Amino acid sequence: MRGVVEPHVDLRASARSIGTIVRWFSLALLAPVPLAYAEGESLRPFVVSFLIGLTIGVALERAAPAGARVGAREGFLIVAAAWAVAAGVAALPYILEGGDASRPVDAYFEAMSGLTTTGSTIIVDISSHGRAIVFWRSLTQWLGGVGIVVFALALLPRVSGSFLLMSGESPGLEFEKLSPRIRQTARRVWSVYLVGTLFEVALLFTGGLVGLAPRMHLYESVVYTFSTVSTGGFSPDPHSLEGYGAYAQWVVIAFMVFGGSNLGLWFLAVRRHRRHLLGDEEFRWYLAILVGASAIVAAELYAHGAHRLAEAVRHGAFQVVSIMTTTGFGSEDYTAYTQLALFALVILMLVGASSGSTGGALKVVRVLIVARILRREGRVVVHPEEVRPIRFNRSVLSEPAVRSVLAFTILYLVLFAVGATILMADASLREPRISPFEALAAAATNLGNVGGGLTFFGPFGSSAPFSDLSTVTLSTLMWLGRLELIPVVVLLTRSYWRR
Amino acid sequence: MRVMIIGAGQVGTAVALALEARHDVTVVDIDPQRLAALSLRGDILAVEGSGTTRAALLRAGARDTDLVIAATDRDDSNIVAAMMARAICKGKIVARTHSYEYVEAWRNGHLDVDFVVSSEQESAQAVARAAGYPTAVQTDVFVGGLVEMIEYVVDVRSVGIAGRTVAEVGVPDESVIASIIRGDRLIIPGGTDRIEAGDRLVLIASPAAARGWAQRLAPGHAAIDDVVVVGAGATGTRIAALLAELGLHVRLVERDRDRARRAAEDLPGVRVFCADGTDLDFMAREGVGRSDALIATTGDDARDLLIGLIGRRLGVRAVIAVVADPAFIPIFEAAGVDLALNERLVTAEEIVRFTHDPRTTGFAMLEGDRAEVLEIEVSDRSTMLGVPFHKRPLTGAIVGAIVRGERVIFPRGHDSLQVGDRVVLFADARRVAELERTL
Repeated sequence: MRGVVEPHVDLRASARSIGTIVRWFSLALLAPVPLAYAEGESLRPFVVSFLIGLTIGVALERAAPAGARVGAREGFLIVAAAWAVAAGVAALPYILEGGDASRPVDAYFEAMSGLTTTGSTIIVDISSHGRAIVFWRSLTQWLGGVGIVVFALALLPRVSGSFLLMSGESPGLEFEKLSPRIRQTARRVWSVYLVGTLFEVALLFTGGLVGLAPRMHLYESVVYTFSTVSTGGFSPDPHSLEGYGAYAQWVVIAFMVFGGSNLGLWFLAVRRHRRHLLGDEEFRWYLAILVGASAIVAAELYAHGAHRLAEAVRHGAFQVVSIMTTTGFGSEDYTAYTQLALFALVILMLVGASSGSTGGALKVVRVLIVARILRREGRVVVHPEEVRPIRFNRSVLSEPAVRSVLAFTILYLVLFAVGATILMADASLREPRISPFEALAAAATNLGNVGGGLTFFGPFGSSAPFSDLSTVTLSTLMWLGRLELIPVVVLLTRSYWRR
Repeated sequence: MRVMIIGAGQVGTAVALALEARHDVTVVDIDPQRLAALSLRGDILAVEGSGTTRAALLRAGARDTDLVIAATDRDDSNIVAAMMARAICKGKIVARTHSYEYVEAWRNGHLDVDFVVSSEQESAQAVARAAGYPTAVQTDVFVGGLVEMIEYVVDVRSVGIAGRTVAEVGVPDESVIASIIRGDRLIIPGGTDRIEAGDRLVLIASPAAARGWAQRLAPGHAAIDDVVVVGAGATGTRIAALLAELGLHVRLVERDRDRARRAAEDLPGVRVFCADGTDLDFMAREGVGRSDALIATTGDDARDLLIGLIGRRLGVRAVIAVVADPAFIPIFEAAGVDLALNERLVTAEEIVRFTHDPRTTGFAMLEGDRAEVLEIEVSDRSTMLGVPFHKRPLTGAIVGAIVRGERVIFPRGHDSLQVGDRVVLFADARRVAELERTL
């Protein structure tokens, strides 16, 4: 049947592609081994996990002969399943380590939180874990930032249907090709990401050397960088970035902004012309919202808190950037902020970062387009015959594209409401008791891959008090949010599986 | 001059008949009947054959032709014929097209011909001129629309102009007063010359500055701001685009949903409505009657007439129609349409204008034939190179605009000419020959 367009999902071909991605992903499990050896920690969690991951990958690859073709339908399944399976493999070190995240449900939560760059943690005391495990935790965020499928595509010689796979995984409206070749495009995105990573490590590390950033040694620099450029938010310190000083916090602010912007634009800006960056409508709005919201929160802090002006500006900017780029770091415990400041942060959780970034949530571009759709609806009431195309970045959006943005936004809000409802219902039956606002914040923070929430699961807190049902719900929300809903939701429709 | 015209359609015929008295005209067409009909009306040589083929062009004597005009009704045929002619003859080549696309391509140097005339653009400009400057006596455009020449009557409403000297009035940027016409005197003004009520002022200016002048000379009246265009065909779309560029508020009404959609996508500055121009309810609801001008260009003469009349009835100040059949022009005007124009005639006029002088790519006659406005290329032997105008003024002429590369300069006394400039020149007709030698 090969070569013929098959109307049903080719499970074998899909399994093969999933296997390839998982096999490559497993290699990452070897990265913490030298560190574990140097620190005198056990190598077993990583080596055994690597072998299991490799076995799963190879076994899946055997499901179909080489050259099996995948189409659009398989693309959704491959992307969705690859992330679910990869999270399973990434969870193995936590289970094998035997710490406070060793229950499979908890380990899977931690791994999914890492890969989806959410940054919610189930671990209560991070200092009880070895440095290699903490390094692994941040590495999963770094790998998940640009995407494990993109990662595989950049390395692999050829995967059929790769364009479909990459567009299925990349956050944002439309996947922009930076090069006629998909592999080249994947590599370019990764090169931007890599350069940003190296810059941040260098800045943090030298800051630590010259005494600007206390406690920021090479290990901390690398681990924080992994969680910054990926807009992940895992921290090796239970107090996040509180104790590292103003310099480190400003560096992290800058690179969260970088991670939350469209990485492709940076490539075009460096290679061609800088107008690609500032000429981009989404980028301008993204910066404008960040600056505006920072000003509001900083003003709140200055007016109500014990902060001096410079501190208020820094903490305001840090929290706003951390939440809007969906990173989830904290420079101080913002759960004690005023109601207005908290409300601003929850709204930013829903807006999220730019398309084509490592960040999550709705994305600035969708929010802007929805605003334009609403403005148009307002006009059409008065002038029913008027034809008003929706424009973005000086080009016209087709009506199907407009409809899909609207559908996505509604779906996002529905899932947000469903997630919050499950959490609320669960919390009404057993501990922990949470308020409706907290339930909404927890759903938003995990669906948007932000990570920092309110009250006990704030920037310094842990999600451990949640019941297993809630933990599974939150893991699912992260998965949905990272894959931009569609690849997962499509799998739930009956027509997807029919001929 | 030997002129070859390819295509004996309406444009080709009009151009041939306009030129045959003064030039040797050859017309090439594939249709012997059309050629026969044309031969009866004028003294021309008719050659049967396809102008896109080398053989037919050679047979028609393209080798010794000074000017080839590709004027069939099809853009691609005209482009191919123009390219073919370029290879065969050393004369000037003119291509007529519908689409403005080709004008842009030509302006960017991607089409190797001497002149491209687009029917859409010419009729859009004619309408825009009429809609934008209803009080002007005569208007013309040069350098592909970047420079305009307008002639205004100065009347008592022209506050701050009548009774003052040129220096007191102050000439706005991007404009030059080319001449003051008083009775039968034609004055090329200096700062001390006085402008009086009843004078006619000839201005050379950018489109924006020309609008500024219109408002100074006839306040209230010239302030056309709100225009409704009915019909989003190629011409209607072009008209809407041009008027929007002039800074007017333009509404475009189109019946066909896809066309309306496309126009809305192409014209960000224009409000597009998907509705029928004969829908009285719609026209009333959108307040079309309060607009300053209505332009009917649906491509269907009967509907255009009806829409024009509806506009008249609703109280629109100026009603303009683009008619397909030139024979209907008097009927439209008799019925109360202020201006009816035909795309092909406008195009033919533009082509004829080009033929007046081989070196002149723009040309306009004023005051019968007493003065001319022409577009001319400065030769590298010109005695005016590098000399500021205030040191050695031209006699009986004034440079209204200088085109230097991408820029248009509206010169003052301290400016001077450089090699490669093109100038828009206003000149006393008796001095044109002499000026063409000195420049």
